[in-house]
This record gives sequence, structure tokens and C-alpha cells, in this order.
Amino acid sequence: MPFQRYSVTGVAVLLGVMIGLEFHMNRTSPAIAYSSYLNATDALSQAIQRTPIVSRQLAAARAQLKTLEDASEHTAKGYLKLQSELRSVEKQSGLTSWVGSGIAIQIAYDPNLPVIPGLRFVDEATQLRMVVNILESAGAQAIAINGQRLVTTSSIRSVMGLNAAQGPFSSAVQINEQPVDAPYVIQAAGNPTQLASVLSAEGFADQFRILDQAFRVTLFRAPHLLTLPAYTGPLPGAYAKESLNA
Amino acid sequence: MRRTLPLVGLLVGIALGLAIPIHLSLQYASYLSVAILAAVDTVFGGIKSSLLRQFDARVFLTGFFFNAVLSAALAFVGSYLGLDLALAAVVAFGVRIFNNLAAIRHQILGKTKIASPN
Repeated sequence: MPFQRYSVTGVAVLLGVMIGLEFHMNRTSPAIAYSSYLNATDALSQAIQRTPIVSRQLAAARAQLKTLEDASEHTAKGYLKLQSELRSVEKQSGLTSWVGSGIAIQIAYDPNLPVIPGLRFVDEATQLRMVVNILESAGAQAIAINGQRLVTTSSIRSVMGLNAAQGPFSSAVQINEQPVDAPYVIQAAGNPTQLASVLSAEGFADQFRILDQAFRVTLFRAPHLLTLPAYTGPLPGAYAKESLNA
Repeated sequence: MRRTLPLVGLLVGIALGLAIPIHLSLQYASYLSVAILAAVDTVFGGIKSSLLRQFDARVFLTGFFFNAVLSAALAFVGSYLGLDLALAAVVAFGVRIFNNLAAIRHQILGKTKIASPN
């Protein structure tokens, strides 16, 4: 019967179309198969809640990308930015000389001061460290002793041996591994009044007077500015490099 | 030629389905799959009745469309209710398909059975 035959053929065609559609279904669309309306609703609400967080992360990532692009571009702008950053780091680490307001402290043997019996040995490195610590706590932005700029790796230490300078017996002093002899001149950049006030309050003049040392503070303000030298000693990594394989 | 016409129709249909520029998204996959299962069940049922010489085109046609649409609708409603009703349709049609296949097999084997020596 033609009707019977064509009905079967038509059904076969329809079934084929359905199978064909199933074959080329868009399986790259959202990889989550939602088995129910409730699951889909939950997923949608979670996605809506996540949107602002993702937006913030995206904005932060874009800002970071822009910074990296600006820093890495081979243009005058990127070069100047790197130069500016380098100067800032050098200034903070003491690799550049410093000109500005501040104070200069001279510590020297004064034969006119009365000799106090029994105190014939002075550990000058300890005395210098005390002064430096107080100056740093008072807000000094840069410090140098007898032309040796103090940086984070600097040391002020006594070494065995006697100081050739006049006055009580004293061991030799090394700053930045370089020998430094009395008289000592400590230069400190910062607010001159504040630095001098803190030293006065600590009573350093009286303490050094007991040790036959004169402690004189000179204030430098514009136009007479203080000049501190740059650190010229070895830097970390000069003799050895970090091992990345360790 | 007459016997191969449904097979040719099936191949033509698959080609058409692949050629139609409609890409259903994945969320409709379960509905279409259940509908296909129902349609396959109807086809096997038709083959079985044809072998039993009980084939009725009207029953076949109405069964095809009704089962396909009803199973897809059942899966759709189930998704709204939070119940996996598509699974129920899959189980039901799966059992029917195997039953129909068994009947077809028995019918074919019965017809082509080797004559006994008696």
C-alpha cells in the first residue's frame, strides 16, 4: 500500500533529521548540563553574584597589564619611568650624594677638659653607634661619618689596635670596613632643629665631656647646605650571586 | 527497492539534519535525545508489527509523533519540577525497545528456522 510505504519512509526521514540534529548539536556552548530548572536558576544567581568580583579582578589585571606595558615599552615614556624609579631607589639606598639641611657633629679630644681619673679607655665605636642610633630615631634621612656614608649594610666597629689620635686610649674604628680616625665628624641630613634638640635632650655633650671629648653641633640651613657623600663601598651581590637552583 | 526505501529515507534524513543550519544548544540535548529514543521505539514496534502482519500505518504514525512529543514534554516538565522525568522515559522506552527487538529476533529466527530432518 502506498500510504503505508510512504508513512514508514516519512517517519524514517523524520527520525534521520532528529538524529542529524543530535549529531551537530552545539556542544561547545556552556559545558554545564542543567538537569533541572532549579539547578539552572541557582547557577544563574551564583554567576550574578560572582560578576562584580570578576569585574574587580579584571580591572586590577588590566591596571597591572598597563603598568607592565608602560614599563616594558621601548619608548621615551617607559625609559624615563624606569630612570626615575632607578634614581629613587639609589637615593633611598644611599648611592647618591645628598645636599640639604642638617647638622654636623664634631667629636674631638679636648685637652682643656678636666681629666677624670680611671677613665682612660674609650670604646669610640660604641659612642659613635649611640649617636647614629639617636640621629636615626630623630628622623635623620642620611648620615655620614668622616666621609663614610652609612647604608643598611654599614658597620661601625672597634678593631684590635690603638687609635693614634690624641686623648685617652682607644681602639681603632672601622666604618664600612675602612679605618676612620678621630676627630670624628658626623653629618646628618634632616630637620636641623629637631636633630639638635634630640641630641641635647640625650645629654651627649656631657657624656662625651666625661671622656675628654668635645661634642660640638653645627646647624646647616639654606643657603648654607650640608653635603653628604654617596656610598662607594661594595654592594650586596658584588662577590656572589643568588643561586636560583638551591 | 521497496524494502530499502525506509533505509534510504533514514540516510537522507540524517543528511538533512546535518545540513540544516540549526545548532541546538546543549540544554535541549536531553529533550531531543528522549524524543529520538521514543521514535526509535516506535520504529522497532512498527517493524515488529510488520513482521507479525499487524502493521497499521495510522497507529504507527500517531505513535511516532505522540511518543516523541510526549517524552520530550515529560523531560521539559521534569526539569521545571526538579525531577529527572527524562530518566523515567528512558527506562520505559528502553524496556520497550528491548522487548520489540526480542520479538523481531524471534520472528526472524522462526521464519528462517532450519527445517527439522523429520
